Amino acid sequence: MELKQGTLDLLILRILLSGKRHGYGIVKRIQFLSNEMLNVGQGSMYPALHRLERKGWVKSSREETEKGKVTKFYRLTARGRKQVEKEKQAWHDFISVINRVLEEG
Amino acid sequence: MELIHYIRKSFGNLFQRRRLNEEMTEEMEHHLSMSIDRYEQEGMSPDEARRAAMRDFGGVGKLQEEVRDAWGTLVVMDLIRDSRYALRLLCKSKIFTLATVLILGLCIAGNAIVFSILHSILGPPSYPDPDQVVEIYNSYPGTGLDRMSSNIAQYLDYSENTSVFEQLSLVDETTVNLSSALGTVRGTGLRVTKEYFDMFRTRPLVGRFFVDEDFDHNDNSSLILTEAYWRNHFAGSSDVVGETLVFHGKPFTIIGVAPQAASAHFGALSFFQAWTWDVQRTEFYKERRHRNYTNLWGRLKAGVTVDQAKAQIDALDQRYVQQVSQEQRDSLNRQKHETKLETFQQTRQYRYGASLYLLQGSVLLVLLIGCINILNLQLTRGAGRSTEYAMRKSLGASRLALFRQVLIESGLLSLGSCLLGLLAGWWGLSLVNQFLLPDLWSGLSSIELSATSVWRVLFLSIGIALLLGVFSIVPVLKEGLSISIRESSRKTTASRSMVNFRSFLVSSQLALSLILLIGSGLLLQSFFNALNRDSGFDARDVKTASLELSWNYSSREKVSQFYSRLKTSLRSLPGIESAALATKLPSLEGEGYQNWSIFPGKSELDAMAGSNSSNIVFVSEGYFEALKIPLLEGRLFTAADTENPTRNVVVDRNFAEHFFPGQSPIGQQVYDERDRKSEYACTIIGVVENVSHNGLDRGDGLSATSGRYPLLYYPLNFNYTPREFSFLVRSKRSFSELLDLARENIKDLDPQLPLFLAGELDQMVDESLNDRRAFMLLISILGAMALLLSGIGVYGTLSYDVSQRVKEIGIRVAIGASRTLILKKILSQGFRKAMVGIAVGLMGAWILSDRLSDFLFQVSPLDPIAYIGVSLFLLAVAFIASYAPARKATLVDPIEALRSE
Repeated sequence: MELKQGTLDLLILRILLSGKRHGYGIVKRIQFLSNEMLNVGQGSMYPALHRLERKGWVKSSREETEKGKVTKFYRLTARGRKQVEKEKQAWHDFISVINRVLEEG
Repeated sequence: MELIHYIRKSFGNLFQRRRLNEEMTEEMEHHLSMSIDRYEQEGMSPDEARRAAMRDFGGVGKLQEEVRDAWGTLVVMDLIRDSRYALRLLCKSKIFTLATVLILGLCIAGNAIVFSILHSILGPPSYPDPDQVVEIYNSYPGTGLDRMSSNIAQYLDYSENTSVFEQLSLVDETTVNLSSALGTVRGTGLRVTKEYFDMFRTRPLVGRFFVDEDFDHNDNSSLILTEAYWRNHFAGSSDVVGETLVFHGKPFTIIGVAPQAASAHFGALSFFQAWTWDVQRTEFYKERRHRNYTNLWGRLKAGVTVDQAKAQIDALDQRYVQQVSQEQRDSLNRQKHETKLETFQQTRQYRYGASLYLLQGSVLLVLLIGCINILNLQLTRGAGRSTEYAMRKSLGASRLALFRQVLIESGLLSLGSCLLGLLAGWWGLSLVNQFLLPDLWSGLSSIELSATSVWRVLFLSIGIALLLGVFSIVPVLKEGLSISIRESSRKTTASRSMVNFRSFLVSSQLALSLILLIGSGLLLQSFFNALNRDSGFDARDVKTASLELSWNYSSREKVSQFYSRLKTSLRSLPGIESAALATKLPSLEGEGYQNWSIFPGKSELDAMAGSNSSNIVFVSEGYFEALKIPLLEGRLFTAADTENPTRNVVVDRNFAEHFFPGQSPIGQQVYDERDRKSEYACTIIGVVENVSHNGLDRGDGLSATSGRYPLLYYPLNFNYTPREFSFLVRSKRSFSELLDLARENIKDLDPQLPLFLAGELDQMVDESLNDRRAFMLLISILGAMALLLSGIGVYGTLSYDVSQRVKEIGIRVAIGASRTLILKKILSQGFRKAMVGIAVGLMGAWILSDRLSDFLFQVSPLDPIAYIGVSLFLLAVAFIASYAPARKATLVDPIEALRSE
C-alpha cells in the first residue's frame, strides 16, 4: 500500500513520541506497526526528517547505536509533541469527513 | 515565532552546510549498512543484500538533493547572490547610490530626531497608570485667565466630599537658597502633601516618605531628596538619612530619598518639602476659594473616568456658589469660573502638542520631498536599465525574479540610508540636547534616541524601499521589455507618459517645499517682529540680579531695612547712574505680576463694564529712571514715597485709559481688593508709558476682553514687603565688574545671599525669545532642506531630459534653431514646472495656514509678503536649477549628435 501524500510526517512524529530513534529505526517501526503493509520509500524518510527539524518539531544529535556505530538520532521537541496532537486530530477529522462522504454519497 | 525559528534555522544551516553534508552521508550509510546486515542475516549474498537495500532506499543522489532542499539554504543562497549582484551594481553607479543614501539618510535622521523628541515628551511617564493622574485647576475664561492654579480650600473640600480620588495632593514648585559646605546656591524642589508619593505609586529608595508628624507648621523641617540630587551630591549613599541641608539659613533633616518617577513631570528637582499651613487659620483659607497659589493633583480611583470625577467636583463647586454672597456669585458668573480636570497626557498635549506635531508634519514633508527625489533618480536609472532587464528576461528570468532584484536593490539602499540616518540622528539629537533643549522643552533633562523611534524609522525605510521598488520597476515592465531591447540603443526620447509623470513629481516637490518655506518665512517674520517690538523701556546698560532673603528677616521692618541698605550700598558704587528695586522686571519670565481687582473711586462692581483686574508691580524710586520709562503726566516716585510709604501710586497709560477714560487720572483714588473694606484709598500721582510686561512675543495675558493690560505701580515698601525681589542699576561699567562689587556689598549686608537671574537686561530680554528662536530655527532648517532637495529635483529632471533629447536638439540646431531659442525652450520647461508647483503649493499653504496661527506674532497666517516673497524665491531657485541643463543643451554639437544616425 502506497503512503498517502503528507502522512509520512505525521507517522514520523507519532513514532518519535515513544522516544528517540534513528532513520532506519523509524522505517522499521513503521513497517512493524503496519504489518509490513505500508510501503515507505526508505530514503524519503530523510528529506522528511530534515524538514521537520527545520520546522523545529524534532531535533537531532549524533549518538552511538547499540552496535557501536555513530549516526543521527531524532527526538521530538516540546513543540513537536504539540504538533503530533494537532496533526492527529486533523487526520481524524479528515478521515471522518471523507468517510461521511463515502458512506452517504 | 514559528516563522522566526524557520528563518533562523535556514540561515544557521547555511553556515553549516559542510557538517550537514557529512552527517547526511553518515546517516544514509548507516541506514544502508543496517539494511544490508539484515538482508545478509536472511541469507542473501553480500552483493544481493546491497542491491536489495539500495532498491528499498531509492535513488541516493536525488534523495540527497531533496534533503538539501529541506535545509532551506537555497532561498538564502539566492538572496545572497541577488544581494551581491545588487551591491555590485550600486557600486558601479556611485553617484546615484551616494545621492540616494545621503538624501534618504538625512531625511531619516530628521525623522528619527523628531520621533525621539515626540516620544520623550509625549510618551508615557515612568509611573504606573499615568492616565489616572490628573491636574485640577481653576479656569476663568470670562477674564481671559484660562489656566490658574488651585488652593487649600479646594484641596480640603474635594478630599472630604468626593469619592472618586484615590489621592489628592497639593503640589507647588519652590526655589530656595540652599547652603552647604560649598556655599549657597539656588535649588528647586516641590512642596507636597503626604499623598503625593502614593499618587505616583513610588516607594522610598532610602528612609521613608512624609507622615502626619512631618506636617507641623511650626516645625516643618523634614526633607526628602530626589534620586538625581541624592546620586549627584551624596553618591547614592544610604547613610544620607539624618543629614541636614540648610534652606534660607534654616536646617532641614533628610528623612528619605524618592525615586525618579516622583519627579516625572519636572525638570531638575532637588528635594521635596512638606506643604504645611497654620491649621489655626484653616477656616481663613477655606473662605478664599479663588485665591490660587498652588497646584492640585489627584489620582482617580481605578475605573473612574475624568468626566465622572468632574461631575462630583462641579456639584461641590455649585454648593459653594450657593453659600457665598450675591456679589461674589455674580463675579464668579461673570468670570465664567469652572474647575477643570486634565490628565498629564492632555496637559502635555496642550503645552507641547501643537509645536511638536507641526515639527513632525514638516519633517515628514521633507522626507516625502526626498523620496520623490529618489524616485526620480530611480526612474532615470530604470529607464537606462531597461536593456539590462530585457536581456535578463530574454535569458529566462521571471518577472518575479526581476522584481525581487529591484526590491533587494532598494532594500540595500534604504538599509544604508537607515544606518546613516540613525547615526546622523544620534548626532543631531546630541546637538538638540545641547543647544535647543533648554529653550524649547526646559522640563526635560535629555532626549535619547528611543528604541520605539528606531523601530519606527526602520519600518519607515522598509516601507519606502518597497514603494520605491514598485514604482521604479512598474514603468519598466509596462513599457514592454521585448521592444526596449530592440530600440534601446536607438531611442531618442522617453515615452510621453514617463515625461509627464516625472514633471508631476518635480512640480509636487516644489509645491511641498513652498508650503514648508512659507511656514518658516512666517515664523521668521514673527521672530523679527518680536525682536524689534518696542518694549517701552530701554534695557541697554541696565544690569540686574535677583535675590531672596532668608526667613531670618521675619518682620516687615527687617525686610524694608534691608531694602534701604541695599539701595544705599548700590548707589554708592562708582559709575552708577541710577539703581532701584522691583518685584518683577518687564519682559522677563519669572514670578509674574500680582493680579488684583481694582476699584476706581467708590464705584460698585456692576458699574464696571469690562474687567476690573490689573497687574500689580512693586517698585522703588529710581525704577522708571533706570529703565527710562517715559513719564506722561504727574510725577514719579521719590525716596519719600518708598522710604515712608505714602498711599501714592503710579499707573501706566493702559490703566489710565481703561479706568479713567477721557479724564486725567492724577489725583484720582483707587482701592485694591485688600483695602476696599478698610476704606484706604491710594492716590494716583503719575502716569507712565506702557511697557511690554510678559515677554516681547506675548500678549500680556490678562484682559482678553478689553484688549488692554493695565499695570499699577505700588511703592515697594507699601503694605507688601516680599523677601524675593530684583535690583537693577543703570551703568556704563561692565557687568562682571559691577556684579563683583555688588556681591561684595551684599556680602557685607548678609553673607549668605546667592544672586540669581543675574545679567545684562538687554541680553536677558533677547534670550527670553530663545524658545521662539529655536523653533523657528528647526523649521527653517527643514525648509532649507526641502528647498535644496527640490532644487536638486528640478536640476536632475531637466538634465536628464536634455541628455535624452540630445538628438532632437541636434536636429533642431542643424535645421537652424538658434542657441537662444534652445536655451529659452529648456528654461521655459523648468519655469512651467515651477509655476505649477507654486500654484499648487500656494493653495496648500492657504489651506494649512490655520495650523500656524498660534505660533505667529503680529503677522497674519496669510501674510502676502511671505506668500509672494517665498514664491519668487522658489522661482529663482527653479531658474538657477534649470539654467545649467539649459546651457548644456545649447552646447550640443549637431554633428556629434547626429553622427550615430
